[in-house]
Amino acid sequence: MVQLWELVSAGVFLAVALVSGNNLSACVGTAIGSGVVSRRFGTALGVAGYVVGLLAQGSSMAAAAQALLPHQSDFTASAALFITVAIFIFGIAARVPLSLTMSLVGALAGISVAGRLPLNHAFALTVVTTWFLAPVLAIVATFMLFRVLSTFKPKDVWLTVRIYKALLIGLSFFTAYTLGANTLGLVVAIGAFSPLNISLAVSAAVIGPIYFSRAQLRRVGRDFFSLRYSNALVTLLASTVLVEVATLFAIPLSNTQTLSAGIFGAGVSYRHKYFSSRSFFVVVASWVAAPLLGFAIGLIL
Amino acid sequence: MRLHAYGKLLKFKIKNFLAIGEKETFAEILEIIRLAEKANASLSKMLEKPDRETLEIENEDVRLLEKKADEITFRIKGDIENGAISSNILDNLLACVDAADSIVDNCYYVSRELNRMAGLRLDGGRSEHTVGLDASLTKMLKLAADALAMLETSLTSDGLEKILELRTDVQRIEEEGDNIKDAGFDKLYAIAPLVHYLQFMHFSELLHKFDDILDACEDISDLIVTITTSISR
Repeated sequence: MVQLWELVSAGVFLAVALVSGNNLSACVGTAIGSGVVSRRFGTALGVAGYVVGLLAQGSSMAAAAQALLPHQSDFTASAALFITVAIFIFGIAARVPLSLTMSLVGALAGISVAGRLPLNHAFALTVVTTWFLAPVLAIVATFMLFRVLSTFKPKDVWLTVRIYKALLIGLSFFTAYTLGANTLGLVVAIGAFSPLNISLAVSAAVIGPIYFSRAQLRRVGRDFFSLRYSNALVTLLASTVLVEVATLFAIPLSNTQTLSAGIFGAGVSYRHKYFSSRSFFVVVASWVAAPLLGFAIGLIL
Repeated sequence: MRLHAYGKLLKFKIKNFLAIGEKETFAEILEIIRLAEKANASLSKMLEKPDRETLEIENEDVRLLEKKADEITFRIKGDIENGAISSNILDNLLACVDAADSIVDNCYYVSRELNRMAGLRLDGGRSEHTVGLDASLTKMLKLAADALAMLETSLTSDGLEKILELRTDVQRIEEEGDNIKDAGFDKLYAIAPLVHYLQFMHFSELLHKFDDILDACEDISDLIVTITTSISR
């Protein structure tokens, strides 16, 4: 007979493996796509970022888990984790970018409401407000930063490129770090920061990128992240700072949300631009759909 | 022993990390440009001294240069695909390599044409009517030599300002070449009734090919600007 705590640990392992594998491309895709690092080195860089972020700051997300799912039991924790894993797998299968952070927060809130648990409404409101504000801030920040960078005329082209590449490696690590601290931290916090769950999460953060990132890395590295070094830098910088600030306040924030918004901001800063409105609206719709789907399933179950 | 191996690996990784794929590719393209300069110099000799011996010696030199350029082109394309290069400039770098290779290819085509024409009993395709055309071709070769020297400077330059300046100069040279080509064709059509049709074809072909060489120089200078701007701003 499977114990509930075993289900929680399995849920933690699965969620961490899936999100760390699927989001590796968002963290290190630019560095790999631009040939700054090899795929193997990039994967190791991402894994190191996840693990350091989770261990150094992940526990700060326990406050978020407590606020969104008070008096959590093994039953509610495993339910929230498996709902999130199911939504995430559905998103991958349907090729819709559904954020794990957002669906997890939605599921936690849904379970709390259904179980008449004392959900911290003020905190929930802060999270939703952050989700509205973060993409706007990411767009504005990348737009402004890129405009400033555009005026910069490098005296030495090759020195500039060398600095860009070094910064890109550092920022790739820190993007993975913030994902480890925020998203992975929240997942582990749902199941409690026990030595077993931490060990499982660390193992999953290593295994996930090895088994679930190959196709994404190839596609994202070459196609999606065919950005200029300056664009990539500005996008990663804005995203990393926003997620890190959110982590300091224990607010769950999706890296992919801030990255997508940042890429949009960098794109609109060009004088001549071609804008794929369909892709953009699919991404924006997924930001609304993911938490609502998690909330609805949490409420029903 | 093991520590030594790790040390070597770390040294290799750091060296690799510091490498700039785009700069290395520019250095490789420079090799082709230098071959193009040599081929261009051979063509000048062939035009200056169109005797059988000179033509054959220079033609053989250009053939070897063209072969070497092809080998370098093949090698660079492999390096570009596997190097530390931003994916959004891959196509531009490949186009740059192709344009540089096309200059040497065109030089070889011209050298064969000069050599082939010398085999006919038409005074190497020359007569008193074509003197002006020879001067036009020599001027175009001189312009190509200037443009190639500018490309050499551009490919080794660190400064964006300098690269932009050189691009303007190459563009001006290309325009000058266009004018010489047009004037050459005007002259060629004017003397058409007086020359053998093979002579007509010969000069028409040379004017086109010399213009292609200058066009390729302009394309390369444009691509250098696009690439350096794209990666540094």
